[in-house]
Amino acid sequence: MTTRKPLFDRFADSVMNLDSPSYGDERERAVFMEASAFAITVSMMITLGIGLVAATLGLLLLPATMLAITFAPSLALSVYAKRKGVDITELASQASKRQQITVSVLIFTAFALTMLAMLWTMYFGTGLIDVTFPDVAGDGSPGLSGSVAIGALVGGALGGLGQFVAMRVKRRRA
Amino acid sequence: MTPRRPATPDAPDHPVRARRSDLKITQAELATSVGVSRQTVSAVEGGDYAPSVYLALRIARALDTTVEDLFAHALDSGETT
Repeated sequence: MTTRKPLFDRFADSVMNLDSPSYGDERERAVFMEASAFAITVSMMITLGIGLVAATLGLLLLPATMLAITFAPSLALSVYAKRKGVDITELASQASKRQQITVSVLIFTAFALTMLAMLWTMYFGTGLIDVTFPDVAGDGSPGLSGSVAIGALVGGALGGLGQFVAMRVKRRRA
Repeated sequence: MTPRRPATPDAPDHPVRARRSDLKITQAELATSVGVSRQTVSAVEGGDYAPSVYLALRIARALDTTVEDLFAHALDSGETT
């Protein structure tokens, strides 16, 4: 009788595809995983930073989204590790006191400042830094949010094209 | 985390490098025979990476020697920490 893996494990397997040869050998895989951890840390810091800046500019939805997004990788990390028998909180408790305090203070400060800035906006109706976004496109334009969406699409397409070309060049050289 | 040790300029040749040189095998040839990249062989020889048991066994087999002969010194020098 074959037992089917739980949904989370199947999802993680399909996302990670750990048997893929694209991970390289064991050292390359280890370095790739270190790089992934570094990238996640950086992206979480950027996300927190964007949330804080957006909150001070008087936005509410964007910082709230950024704070929520920050939880997603943490949650995924914790659940994934737990299913593999590794307790992240137990590991974190083994870090030096200084490192624990530094990380806790940084994260708590970012969260607290963002929340305070959002509360300020809700209470006073304007951000800590009052910025009026100029309508540089004029009438008949898609507006700021539309322009951002179009910019993201064009940027994403160009980025994808660049990645594709880079992979082709690398494959040709190999 | 990838195991590492600081490079020391006056450190003796890693046994893997010494054995490979004795057999006149290039890093690329050893890498191909054990199924890893040349950079990984270089990292092992440089002491920057401690291979798994399976890779250590494959390297030892490819170099016609034992894992103890190639990697036992790491226990004394603390290479894998």
